[in-house]
Amino acid sequence: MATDRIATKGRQLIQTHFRNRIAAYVKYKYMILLLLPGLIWYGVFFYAPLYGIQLAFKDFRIMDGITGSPWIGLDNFRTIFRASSDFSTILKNTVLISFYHILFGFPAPIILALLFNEIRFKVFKRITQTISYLPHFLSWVVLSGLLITILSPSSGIVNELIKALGFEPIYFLGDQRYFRFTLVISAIWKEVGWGTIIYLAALASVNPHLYEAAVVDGAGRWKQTWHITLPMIMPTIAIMFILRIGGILDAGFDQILNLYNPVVYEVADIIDTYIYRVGIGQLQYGITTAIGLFKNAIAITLVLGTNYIVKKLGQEGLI
Amino acid sequence: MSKPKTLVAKLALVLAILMLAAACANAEKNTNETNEGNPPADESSNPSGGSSQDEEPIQISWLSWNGPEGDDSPVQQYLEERFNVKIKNVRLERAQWQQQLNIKLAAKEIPDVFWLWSSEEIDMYAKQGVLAELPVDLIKEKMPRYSEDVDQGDPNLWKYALVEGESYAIPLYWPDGQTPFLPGYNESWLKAIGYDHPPTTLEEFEDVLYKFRNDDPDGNGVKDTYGMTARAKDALPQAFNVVFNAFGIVPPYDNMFFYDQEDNITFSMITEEARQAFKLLHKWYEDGVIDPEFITTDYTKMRQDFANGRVGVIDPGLWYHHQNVFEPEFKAVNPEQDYVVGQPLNGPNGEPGKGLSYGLKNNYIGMGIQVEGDTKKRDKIFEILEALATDEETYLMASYGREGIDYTMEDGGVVPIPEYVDSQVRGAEIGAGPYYGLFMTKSFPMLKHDLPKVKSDYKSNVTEGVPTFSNAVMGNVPELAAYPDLKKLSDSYFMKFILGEVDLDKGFDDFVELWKKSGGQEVLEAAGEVAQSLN
Amino acid sequence: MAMTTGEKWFQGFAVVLSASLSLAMIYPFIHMISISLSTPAEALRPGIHLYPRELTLDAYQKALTSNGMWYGFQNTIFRTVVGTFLSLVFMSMAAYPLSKKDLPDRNFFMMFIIMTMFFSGGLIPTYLLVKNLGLFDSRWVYVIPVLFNTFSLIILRNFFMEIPSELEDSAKIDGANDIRTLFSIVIPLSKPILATVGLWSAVMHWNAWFDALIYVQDQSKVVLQVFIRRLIVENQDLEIMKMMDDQKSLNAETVKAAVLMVATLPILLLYPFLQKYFIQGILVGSLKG
Repeated sequence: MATDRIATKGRQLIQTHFRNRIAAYVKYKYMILLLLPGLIWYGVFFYAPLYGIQLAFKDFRIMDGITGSPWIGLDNFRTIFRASSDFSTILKNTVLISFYHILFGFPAPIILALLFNEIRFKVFKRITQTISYLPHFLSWVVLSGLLITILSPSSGIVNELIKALGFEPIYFLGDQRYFRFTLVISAIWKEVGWGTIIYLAALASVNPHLYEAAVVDGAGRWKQTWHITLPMIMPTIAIMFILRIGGILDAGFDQILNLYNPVVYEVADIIDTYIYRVGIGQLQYGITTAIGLFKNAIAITLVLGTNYIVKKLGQEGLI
Repeated sequence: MSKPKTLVAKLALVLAILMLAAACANAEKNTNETNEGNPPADESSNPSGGSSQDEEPIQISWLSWNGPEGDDSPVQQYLEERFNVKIKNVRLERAQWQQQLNIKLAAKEIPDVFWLWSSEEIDMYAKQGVLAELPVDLIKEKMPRYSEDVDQGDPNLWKYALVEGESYAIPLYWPDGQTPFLPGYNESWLKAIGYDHPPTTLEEFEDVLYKFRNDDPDGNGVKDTYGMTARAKDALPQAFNVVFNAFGIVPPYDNMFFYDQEDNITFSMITEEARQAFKLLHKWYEDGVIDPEFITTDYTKMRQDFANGRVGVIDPGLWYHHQNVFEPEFKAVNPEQDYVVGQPLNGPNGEPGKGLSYGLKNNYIGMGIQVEGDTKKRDKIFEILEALATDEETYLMASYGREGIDYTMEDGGVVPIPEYVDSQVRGAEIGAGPYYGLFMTKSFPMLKHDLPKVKSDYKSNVTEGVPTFSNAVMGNVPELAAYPDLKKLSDSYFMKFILGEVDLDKGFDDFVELWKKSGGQEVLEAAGEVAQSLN
Repeated sequence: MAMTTGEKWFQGFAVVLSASLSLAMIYPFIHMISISLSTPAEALRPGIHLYPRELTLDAYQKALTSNGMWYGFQNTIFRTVVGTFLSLVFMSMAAYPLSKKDLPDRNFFMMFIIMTMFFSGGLIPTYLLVKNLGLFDSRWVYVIPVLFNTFSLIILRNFFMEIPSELEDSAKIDGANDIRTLFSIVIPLSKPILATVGLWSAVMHWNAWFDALIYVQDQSKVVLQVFIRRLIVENQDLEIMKMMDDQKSLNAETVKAAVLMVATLPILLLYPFLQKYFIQGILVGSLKG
C-alpha cells in the first residue's frame, strides 16, 4: 500500500538520519570526549544554579529559601522602574556613557596595537608595551584620589598644561559639561594598554611572508596596514566587537561610583549606581536579579543582532 | 617523548572531574533543608538534656567585626574557659558586610551572637524572621547591671530599634557620641590675622574666612589660601556643619530630623534657616573664600588641604578626630605651627551656639532565631554579654588583652603596647577589641579604663559645657528606603544652591515643593509618627 | 634594512607618541611607589610625587609584618599558577572541538555555552552549590568554580578556527587522533593566544577576593587580596565609631601604598616574560614545518 510505503520510507529516512548522526558522533568521538568536561562544568556551575533566576519574580524571604519564597509577579520590575522619579534620565545616561565608551574606547587598543606593531626598536617597544598595561592593575578606588589631584583646576598637571597653552583651566570632575568626557578618557587611559594584548596576539599570528610579498609589489606602509594587517586581525576585531556590544548597559559602575559627586549626578547617574542606591539597607536579591534579567535581555538581543550583521559582512561570528 | 602517557594522565583528571560533578548534582537537591554551615558547630545547638555543671561546652557562633585571624586567640581561649563555651568565629569584611552576611543567612548559617550595625538592619532582619525576639523585660532580667546603665543613659534606647512594637536586640550606647562636632583652626593663621582666640560667632567666623583668603595668613606673598573646604564628594551632609549649626539646624543628613519652631518634625534643608545658611554659603562661594574644589574633596583630601595650609578651618570632627587625626597630621607637616579646637558658633541673632552630636544611640547585639528555642544557649549568651559589659576583668581582657603583655595600666587608663594601638591589628592577632569586646568604649562603669588621662583631659577641655543637639528622630523610619532618590535630590540641590545654579528665593521654594512631592512629605509624616511613639 | 626618509619620520612619530603615552601611564605607579617610600608628612603633600624626598621603609616594614600576608601570598600564588594552568588545559580542550565546523550539533553546544554569558543563577544558588560540593575552606574553591571563562573560551575557539587545516591533516595522516593533534599541533601553534588568555586568567586569579571572603573562613587559606582590602578599604571609614585606633591614620596613606606595591608588583612581572609570544612571525617556524 502507498501509505505503508511512505511510512517505511519515512522510517528509513529517520533511521538513516540517526545512523548518520551516530556515525558523525563516532567519527568525532575524541572531539566529544574533549568537549565533555566543559559541558559538564557548564551544566554544574551555570545551569544547575539557574533556578535562582526565579528570584526576579519573587519576594525573597531568607527563611523560606529561593524555592519557598512567594511569587510576586512583576513587582520587582515595577519597583525598579517606578521608585525613581526619573528612570528615563538614568537609562539615557547609561546608554550614552556606554556608547561613548564603545565609540572611543573600542578602537583605542586596536590603534595602539597597530602603532606598537610598527615600531622597529624592539627594546623600546617592549618597554612601552609593558608600561601601557600598568594602570589596569590599579583599582578605581586608588586611581580616583590620584585623578582628583592630577585634574585639579588649580594645581593639577593637566590644567597646568592647559593654562600654559593659554586656555582657561577646566574642572574636569566637577563640571557637568566635562564629566562624561573625563570618564571616557580616564577609562581609555586605564585600560587601553591592557586591551592591546589580544590584538598583539592576533598580530603575532600574521604570516610575515605576506608583507614580504607586498613589499615586492611596492606596497607602502599604509597599504600594508590596510590590505594585510587589518584584514588579518579583522576576525579578532569582529568577535571582540560582538562581545563588547553585549555590555551596552554596563557603563562602568566602579569608575563612576568612585569618581562622581553631587554636582554631576544628573549626567552620571546610571542604572548600576541607581540599583546600588535602591538596594542599600534592603535584601536586594529580587531587585538585582530583575535588573540583571532586564539588562541581559537587551544584551542578548544586541549580541545576536550584531552577530548577524557581522556574519553578513563576511566575518566569522559567534555561532 | 612520552606524550601518550601524559595524555592518559589528563584523561584521568577529566574522569575525576566528571565523577565530582555527578556527585554534586545529587547533593544539590537537599540544599534547603540542611541547616547551619558547619556541622560540628551545629550539633550542640540541639538543646541537650543534662544540667550538671561539668557538662559539654555550649557551641556559640559569633558574629562581630575586626575579628581574630586564628581560632585559638588568647581572648577566645579565656572566654571559652571562663564560660564553658566553644566559640565559632564568623568573619566578615566590613566593606562588604551585608553582601556576605545575606548569602550566609540565605544558606541558613545564622550566627548566635549577631552584631547589628543599625536599627535599619534590625528592621530588615527581624521582618525576615532571622532574629530571635528579645523582650526588653527579658534583657532587664538577664542583664540587670547593664540594663540599669542603659536606663540611666537614655531609657528611649530600648525603643529606637523596635520592630512593630517588638524588641529584637540589646542596644549599645556610646558615651562619646554625645560629644559635639567642633571646628578646628590653624592657630598660627588666626594669630597672623589678629585673632588670639577661635571665632565664637558666625560674624567672627565670616571675618576669619575672608581674612584667611585675602590677608595672606601663611605669609608667602601668594593668594593661594582659602577659608574652608568641605567633603562634598563622599559625605555631603557633613559639609559646612558648623554653619548650619550656627543657624540652629542640624545638617541635611537624609535620615536626620529636628523640630521646627511649631514643634513639628521637619527636614533641616527645607527650613527658612537653611535658606539663610545657603545664602551665606553661596556668597562665600562667590567671593572665593570657600575652596571651589570642595566639589571633589573627600575625607583624605580635606585633611591634606588643612595640613598643607590650603584652608585654615577643618570642620567635621568629634573631639578625638582632632586629637588623633587632624592635629597629628597638621603637626607632622607643620611642626612649628599651632592648632586649636574651636567652639560652636553663636547664630546671626546672637543665639548661643550648639554643636551637632550623634547622641547615645549606637549599634546593637541580636541573637539568631535558632537561639529563641534554646533557652540554655540564650541564657549563656546573656551571661557572657553581662560580664563583657560590666565585669572589669572580662571587659579588659576582651577589649584590650592581657595586662602587662598587651597593655599597661596608667592612672587606671589602658595604654596598649604600640603594635596593638590599632584595634584591627589587636583583634587579628590576639582577638582583643570590638570582636569579643562588644562593649569596648561603650560601658559607663568601664569608661575610666578606655581613656588615658591625657586623652580624657583633652576631651573635657574641648567638649565640656558645650551645648549639643542631635537627630530628633532616633528611631527607624522605614519609609526612607522607599524613596531612594530623595537623598540624591537634596544632595544635588545642596550643591546647586551653593554654586548659584538655583536661586534662593523662588528656586528654594520650588525645591521644597519638589522634595515634598518626591516622597519627602511621606517620610516626614512617618518620622513624625516615630517621634510620637518615643515620647 | 635601510629606512627611507618617510619611514624615519614615521618611526620618529611613533616613538614620540608611544613614549608620551607611556609617561602618562606610568605616573600612577611612580606616584604610589614614591608615596610608599615617603614619610607621612611628605605623603600628605599635595601635587605630583615623582620620588620620595625623605626616604623611609617604615611603611614596607608595617605592610610586611602582618603574618597573614605570607599565607595570602602562598594561596594567591597557588590559585594563580594552578588555576591558570588548569583553565588553559580545559578551555583548550573544549575550544578545539567547537572550532570544527562539521562537529555534530556544534551550534547547539555553542549556544549552550554562549547563553551562560547572559544568565546566571546568582550568588545564593552558587554559594549553596559550592557548599554542597564540599569546597568550603579548600584551596580548590579558588580553581574549580572559575575553571572556564566563556569570553576566553570563545576567543580561543576563534583563534583555533584560523589555524590552517592542512597542518592538522598532516598529523592525522601520521595516525594521531584528535586529542593528540590538539596537544601536539594546535596548542603549540596557538602560543600567542594562549599567552593572552593565560594572562587574563592569571590576573583574574591574582586580583580575586570575593570568593575567598564568602567561601573561606580558615585564615590560613585566605588569599592576599583579602588582607590588602583589610588594610586599604576598611581604613576608609574612619567615620565609624572607634577612638583609639585613629592614630594609625597618620601613616595610613604610606602603608596603603606600600601594601599595594607589594601586592601588585609580582603579577606585573608576568607580562614581560610573556612578551616573547607576542612577536610577529613567531609562528613562521611551525608553519613551515
